[in-house]
Amino acid sequence: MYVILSANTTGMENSNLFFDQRLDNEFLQSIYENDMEHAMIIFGQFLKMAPELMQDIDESYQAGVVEDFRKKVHKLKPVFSFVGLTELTRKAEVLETKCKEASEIYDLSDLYIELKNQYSLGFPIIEKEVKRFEKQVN
Amino acid sequence: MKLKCIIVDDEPLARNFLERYCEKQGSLEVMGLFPDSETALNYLAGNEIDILFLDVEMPGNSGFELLDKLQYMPKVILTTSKTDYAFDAFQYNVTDYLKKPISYNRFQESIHKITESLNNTTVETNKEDIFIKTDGKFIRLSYQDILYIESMGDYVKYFTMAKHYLTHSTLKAVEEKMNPKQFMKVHRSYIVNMSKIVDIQDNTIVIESKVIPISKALKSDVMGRINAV
Repeated sequence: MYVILSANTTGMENSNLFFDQRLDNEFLQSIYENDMEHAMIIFGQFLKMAPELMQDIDESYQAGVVEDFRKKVHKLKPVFSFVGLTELTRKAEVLETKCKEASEIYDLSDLYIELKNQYSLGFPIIEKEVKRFEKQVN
Repeated sequence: MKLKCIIVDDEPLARNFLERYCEKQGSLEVMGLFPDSETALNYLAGNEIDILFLDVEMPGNSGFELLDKLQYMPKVILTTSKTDYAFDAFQYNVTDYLKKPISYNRFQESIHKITESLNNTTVETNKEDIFIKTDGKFIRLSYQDILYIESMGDYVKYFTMAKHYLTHSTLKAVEEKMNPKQFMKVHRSYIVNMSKIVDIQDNTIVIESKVIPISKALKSDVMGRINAV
């Protein structure tokens, strides 16, 4: 199911800017407006970057250094919103705040697992979106 | 004429967003994208810009540390995904504080604020005096009458021969308003009128009978500004 946000785009002619309904369409519209080309670039970059960033976060978690873990979560936090996964940004924000109170990394386990699970559900949506963008262009 | 800006953020997608917004906005020219404070400082040492888009938390020096090291102060827009830095942002007198992710409308508001503020600055720097708010009214002070300005917590005090005036402000904010050819920050708590210096000895300046410290980091800048033989 998709939501059509605009019938005209500035970056690409004859294409519509619309996103999967599971993404935060209102927010995506506020950052891309009608700029489909930009959305395509960012979604594509997200696919390349996000797994590596999540891997980095996981390494910090395994190493047990809370401040290092917090810094990486902080960095990734807004990135989720760039592709409409605003709920993940909110979860990352809660996790980052919790880092300040945590005496050891395992205090953060539940929140971190929740973030990872939600990311696993969100990532395929972005993959699908990128494929759809590509199809639309070709 | 377009306003020159640079973007400093270690997160590539955030840099990309701001760059795209700047292009879309039309009145800005992006002179460079930098992933950390150090590379940005290198650029800023040899180039003047109007607007600095600056992240706070970055590997190496933070955004605030970059501001501490700047030789001049462009308009600064902090871009961060945390609201915790609002107080520091106020202390550094930044023009705006944008919480990431940033919507295009919010970005435009910020640029509007900057252009308005730059227009006001132009008017002020053409004058030879400044209005300061003290005791509930605005008082005109001629630059020529000001001996030095001292920071006192959330206040600054302007000293003239006749009297002194206490206003609610920061030294950074004052520094931006003063004529840079005539006034210079010599210490984190002092800006002095260069034409009023009586003598300089070791790490102190004397203006009238007041002994003002010079910070070690600024000593060479001070010596570079005086006509010494």
